[in-house]
Amino acid sequence: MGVARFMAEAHVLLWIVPAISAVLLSGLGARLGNRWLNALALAGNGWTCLQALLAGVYFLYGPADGVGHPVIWSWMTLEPFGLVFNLDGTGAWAIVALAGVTLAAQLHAAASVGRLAGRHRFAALMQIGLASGAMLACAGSPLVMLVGWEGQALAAAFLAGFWEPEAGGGRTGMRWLLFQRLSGLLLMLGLFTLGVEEDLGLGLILAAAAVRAGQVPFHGWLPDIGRVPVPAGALLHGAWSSLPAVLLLVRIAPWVESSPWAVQAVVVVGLAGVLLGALAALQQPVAAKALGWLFVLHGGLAFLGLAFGDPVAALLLASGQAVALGGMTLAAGVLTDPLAGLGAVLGLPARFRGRLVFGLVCTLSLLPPGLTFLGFGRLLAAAPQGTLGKLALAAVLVAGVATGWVAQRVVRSLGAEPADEGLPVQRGLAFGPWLLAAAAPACGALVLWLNGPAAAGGEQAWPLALLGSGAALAGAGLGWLVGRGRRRVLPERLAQTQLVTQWLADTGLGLGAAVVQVSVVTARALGVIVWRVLGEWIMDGLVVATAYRTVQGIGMALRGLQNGNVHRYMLVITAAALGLVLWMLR
Amino acid sequence: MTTPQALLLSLPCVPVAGALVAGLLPARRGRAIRAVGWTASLAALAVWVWLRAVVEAGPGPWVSLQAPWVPAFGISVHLALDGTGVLMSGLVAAVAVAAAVATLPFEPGLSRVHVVSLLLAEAGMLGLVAAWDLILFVTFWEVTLIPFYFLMGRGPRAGAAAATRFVVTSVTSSVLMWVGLLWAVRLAGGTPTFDLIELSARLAIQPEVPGSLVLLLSVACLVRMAALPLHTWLTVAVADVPTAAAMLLAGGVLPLGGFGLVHVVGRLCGPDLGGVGDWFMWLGLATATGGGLAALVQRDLKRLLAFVCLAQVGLASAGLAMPSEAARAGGLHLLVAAGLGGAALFLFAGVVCQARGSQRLVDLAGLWASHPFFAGMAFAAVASAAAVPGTAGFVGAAQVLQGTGGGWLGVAMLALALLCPGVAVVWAYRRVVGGSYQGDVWSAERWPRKRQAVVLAVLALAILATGLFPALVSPGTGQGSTAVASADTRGQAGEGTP
Amino acid sequence: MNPAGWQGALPVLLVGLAGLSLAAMGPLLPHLRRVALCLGLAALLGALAAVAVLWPGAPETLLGGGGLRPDGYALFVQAAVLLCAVFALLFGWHAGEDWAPGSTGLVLLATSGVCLLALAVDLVAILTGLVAAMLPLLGLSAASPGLHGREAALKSLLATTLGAGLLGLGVALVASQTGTTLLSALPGELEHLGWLGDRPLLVAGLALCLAGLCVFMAAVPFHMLFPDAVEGAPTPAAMLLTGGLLVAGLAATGRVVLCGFGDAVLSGPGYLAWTEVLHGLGVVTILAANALALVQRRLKRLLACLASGQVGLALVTLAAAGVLQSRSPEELDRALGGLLAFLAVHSLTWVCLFVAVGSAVTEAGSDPKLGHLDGLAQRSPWLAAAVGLSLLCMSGLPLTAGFFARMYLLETMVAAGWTASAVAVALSVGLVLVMSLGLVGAMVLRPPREGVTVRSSLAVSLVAGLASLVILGLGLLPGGLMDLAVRAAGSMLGR
Repeated sequence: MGVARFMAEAHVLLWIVPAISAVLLSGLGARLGNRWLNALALAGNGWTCLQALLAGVYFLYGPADGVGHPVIWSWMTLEPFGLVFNLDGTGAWAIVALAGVTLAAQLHAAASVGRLAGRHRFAALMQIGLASGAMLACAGSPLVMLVGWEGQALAAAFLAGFWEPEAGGGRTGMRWLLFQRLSGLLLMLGLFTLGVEEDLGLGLILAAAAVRAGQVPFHGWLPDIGRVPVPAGALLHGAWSSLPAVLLLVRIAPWVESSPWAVQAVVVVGLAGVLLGALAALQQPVAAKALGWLFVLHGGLAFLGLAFGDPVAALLLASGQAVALGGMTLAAGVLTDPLAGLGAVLGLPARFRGRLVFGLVCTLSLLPPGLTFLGFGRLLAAAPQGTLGKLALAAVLVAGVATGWVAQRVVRSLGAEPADEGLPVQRGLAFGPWLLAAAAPACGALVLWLNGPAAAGGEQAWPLALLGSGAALAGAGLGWLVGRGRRRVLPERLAQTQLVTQWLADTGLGLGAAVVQVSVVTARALGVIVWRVLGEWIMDGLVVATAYRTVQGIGMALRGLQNGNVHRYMLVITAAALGLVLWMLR
Repeated sequence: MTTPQALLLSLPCVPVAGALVAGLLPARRGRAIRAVGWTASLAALAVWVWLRAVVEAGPGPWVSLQAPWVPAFGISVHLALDGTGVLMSGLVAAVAVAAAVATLPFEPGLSRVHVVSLLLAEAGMLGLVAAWDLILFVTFWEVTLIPFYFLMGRGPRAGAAAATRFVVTSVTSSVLMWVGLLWAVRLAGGTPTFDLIELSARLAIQPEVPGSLVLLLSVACLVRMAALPLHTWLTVAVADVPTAAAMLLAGGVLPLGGFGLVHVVGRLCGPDLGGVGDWFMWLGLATATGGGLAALVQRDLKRLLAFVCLAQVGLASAGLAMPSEAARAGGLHLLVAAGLGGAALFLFAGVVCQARGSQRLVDLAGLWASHPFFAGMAFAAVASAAAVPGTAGFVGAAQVLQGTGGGWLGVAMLALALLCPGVAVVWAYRRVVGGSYQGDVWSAERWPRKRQAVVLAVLALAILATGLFPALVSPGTGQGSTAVASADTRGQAGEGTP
Repeated sequence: MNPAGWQGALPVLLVGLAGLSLAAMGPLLPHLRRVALCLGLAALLGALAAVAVLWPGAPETLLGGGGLRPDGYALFVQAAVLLCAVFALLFGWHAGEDWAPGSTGLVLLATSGVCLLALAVDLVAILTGLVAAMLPLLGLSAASPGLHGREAALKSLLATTLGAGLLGLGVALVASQTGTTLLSALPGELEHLGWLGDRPLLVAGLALCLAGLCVFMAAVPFHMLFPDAVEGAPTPAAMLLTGGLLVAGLAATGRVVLCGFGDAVLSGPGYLAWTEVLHGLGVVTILAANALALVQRRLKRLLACLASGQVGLALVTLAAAGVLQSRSPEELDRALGGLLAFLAVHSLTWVCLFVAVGSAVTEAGSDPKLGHLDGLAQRSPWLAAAVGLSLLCMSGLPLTAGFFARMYLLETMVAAGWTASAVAVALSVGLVLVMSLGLVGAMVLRPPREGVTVRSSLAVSLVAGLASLVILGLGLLPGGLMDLAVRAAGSMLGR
């Protein structure tokens, strides 16, 4: 099929175009004016988004029916380092979501940080992340997969706290870096051990995915969202972490399904993510951090979908989450200092509120025909009967309530009076949320139109999915009630009265922080042991210096003996001769 | 004498000739001396390129040259290069060129001794790689130290102490190796010979090689590779010596330690190192892990880089000690990666620290704003040290990983061994390039010089090239990927479609 | 004297007679100093030529009632010693007015004594040779200006008396038990006597012989007087003490233990084999002497201590050779040849080092200290190069003659199965290297020291240049020297 061949060959452009735009941005960006800079950046995004959309539609609904066509770059076929690219439906879908969110974030960045020095590198890093993500999505060989995975992680590590590496952002980046290096290495080890020792390899890959998606217990970096610049924050928690993780799991789904323990592990991780995410989100008084926990929650849902053997549900949930939560982050970012991240809410001049509230609420995508809504449907349809089914339903409801609650909280924080009336709010700030707000239902509608109700798990799943949406509305309403008639419900009172709960909520109920702190402290302690104790004290101090001192001491003693005093010499020599005789006589 | 043989002979002779010329020039002609320095090193590299072009690959030595030296004792001048040798000599020549071109003009208080020592050190290392007679090997192994002593001696800080320490540990260990060699010769029996091929052939038919002999033979290599716990000389040395010396140490001496392990111990005691290969593997992994952990707690840039380098070489030695072919290829690849990366990292660190007048990480920041190109080029080396895919370090690490055969402990230690140095070096890089640039605390004169930036760029290109085209360096073998490739195909079948 | 073989003693006679006459004439004609030097040099060169002509020697001819044997071994040692003496005289040329009249004669006399020692195959002859070599040397020290010289002379005298006394007592005991002092006859007698352990007097005699020799060879703990003697002695005397007497003494010890004591290497009740005794002494000497060198502040003492450290190496090798003697004779040849080569190389090394020390003159006239060689490379590069070369040669670095010398010693030890001692030697090499590198680094990297002048002259440059050329040449092409040494060893062992 010539067209298929052409599509297959051409899809390398998906990552080549943004890569080129990244190079141009970081090379020429400093000299370019804002308009051209943004045009260049948006071109990279736009191209990828559109081509992926076309390719996806072609592969899924054209004659190719979902099966990709591997492209092997023969100049690099040295196993296992061959460059094999292979775009299929899944990849195309993931790229669309990724590029869309990146586009929105780019729009936001153009408005919010577009005046700062180094903005061109910021944009270039976003492009690199996009290119790596695209590469990951159409990876046909371990090398490509790893390059994509690591490239995105490194780009994110530099984006997080881009403008202030020494200060808080430095720490943010460091934590992120630690986790992402870990996930990259786990993935690498997993990919290469999979062929030798299947269980070990699978476990490593699952761990890599969990670390990347910030799932329990590797969610220690999530509270840092408050310190990440807003556009980066919108990207690297959703589109750049959960989505790739889910994509990876989809790629290895056959392995997961073929080993029971892996399925159970994924179920446990997913449920834990939902539970902890919801609890922490409800406990959180700070809207931004609550948002952070929603990422864990929805990531957990996506994991569940995978565990139930429905990769599509997982993809829908992951992409829906990337779009919805990314949009919420951007929207909330409108009223904050873009560099300090969502930590500091500045309030907003009145004229912007209405549109933003609209944009914000629409991004929820939990309402039909939002992507997450469809995901709910397929998830519940795929869930087995019995306990797991009930648990899945409970998870969906919890997710709905928590999301609604947090969304309402963000909306409420819009009401705050602006700390500084003269705050210059760029008009462009609203584009990002608007785009995503439109995207979530639009994509859902498209999918429904193309696949019919089956896309949402079929007729019998609809009412359950609607339950999820209702839960979201209920959560929002509850939040509105609580906010309106200042009545305190338990979680909030806990959060506001007890510092312990506050800390627990900040750190994902302590577990994440424990994982981070324990590992870091252990590593540092071991490092000190190797460097100081083994190296400087034992080897240099004890072994070398002691030996040297001993020899020196012997020398000093002999020199003291040899003080030029003749009769002492005679005495020693005579004694020595006598000793020699006795020695030889034994 | 055929052309390849002539080239092989002139490989170590060209730098010696350069050293002679530089030494005979009057000391006040600094410019001419420097010119001789980098011309000679470039000439050596050109000779290598020519040799690489004309020699054809094959089993055993690709090119060989033998002449009797002390026939009564079976000592001969046996120069030869096989695949490994060609690779390592290329590495040494390249690193020496980088050191000469990038640092010679800019060393403070540069003297004739400096240039002559640099050239002699290069010659010694090239000869070491090409020596297939054990006495010749030991000769080069030890004679290299004297130029290094003078090269390191005039460092920014306590250079002489560091140099003395390096030379004394190194010579003492090499005398131990020597005792081991004599023992091996006796063990082999027959008329005494020090020829590597002959000797290994005789030892191969011996029932077993005693472990203590292996230890005696390899202790010198372990010292040079700065394997734990014999690593303490390196961290002192590279932090205190001039940039050129640090580049040669990280780019030449460390990898050559691993080369010695392959070349002498590996050949004499067989690929499983006389049955103690496992110990070496664990030692290598421990070195890599420990070095990485120690790097995490460093606050001095050069010392941090030293730990990172020794960790990478430790990983390489672990790969070299593994039974599988892939792992050995990976170990070799890692040696090259460590050499190129170490040279690049220490060039970067040397220039930056000299411009700032401090090596403490807290004093260095903002290079991304002030010198984007220089900092960007250094990232290739950083990424290679962190085994980021697409760089030389990754290819080696992946091949070594295949050699572990998926044992739990091995994989876990490998993960640590890759994670810790990677995090440490990337974190340090972020500190140095990120943040705000206070121009007033940095050197007023222009830095880096154009030449230094170009050298760094070339090294970065080499690192990326060897990472993207592993076949350039070593024919790797892999099984791990097939699984994943099929994973994708199987994955697509199960894939639902929205 | 056996008329057939009198020419075997030609070198000794030549040097001895010239020495006697010059020593007698010297005080009478002080202004003919340079003439005397020329005559002395001529005599030495003549002796060297004689040695060359006589090579490979006549093992079967015996002189002096069988006490002297002009075999290749003797000739080899004589050649090394004569070379050392030539350098000593050349330095005397450089010394100018400080060169006391008659010193030339004394140098020649000492040299003849050392050559005699090399020829000796009889315990009494060895004793004679030692004394004949020491007395002129202490005369040289006494003749040198300043109190230091006289103190050194006194101490050398004491050392001589003590060493000679111990050795004499040992010889007497041995003779009383075996009825012979001829080394060639001794093994047979010992075998005839049966198990040595039953004869404590004989064992004590052997032990005392070793003790006496150790005094002259400056083996720890018999070295006590040696550094003082070297420090106070004028440079030529110091050269002869280290480069001449030590070498010949070690060679004579080799004769005594290998030909005399023979392969009675088994220890047992009442008798500890001489191999083990020498092994112990050697290891102790290596460690203690180098440790002592590590803490020295004065250059001459430092060199003296390093010298006795090298003696320790030689002793361990001798012991290993003794073990080999009972095992495989052909390996013994190589071991002994290696030892000879080692001795030749090191006599050169010490010459070179003492030349440098002697030419570094402080204004105060005191002995040069460690710091006085700072920046020597800037003052006289060639001298510095020679010194550095010989220091590296002493620590056995490649491309110097010391490299192969060290290899032969290590090979002997490994052959004897003494890997542990070989490892100890390796560590001692590190120790020597610490000191050598300290000096080399100071010479090259440090600025010159105030108040120290380096008196370089044609003679000094000649000595330094020649010595370093030989060191380098032997480091590159050791084969010739090694062949000579092995043949010499073979001739000593009667093969």
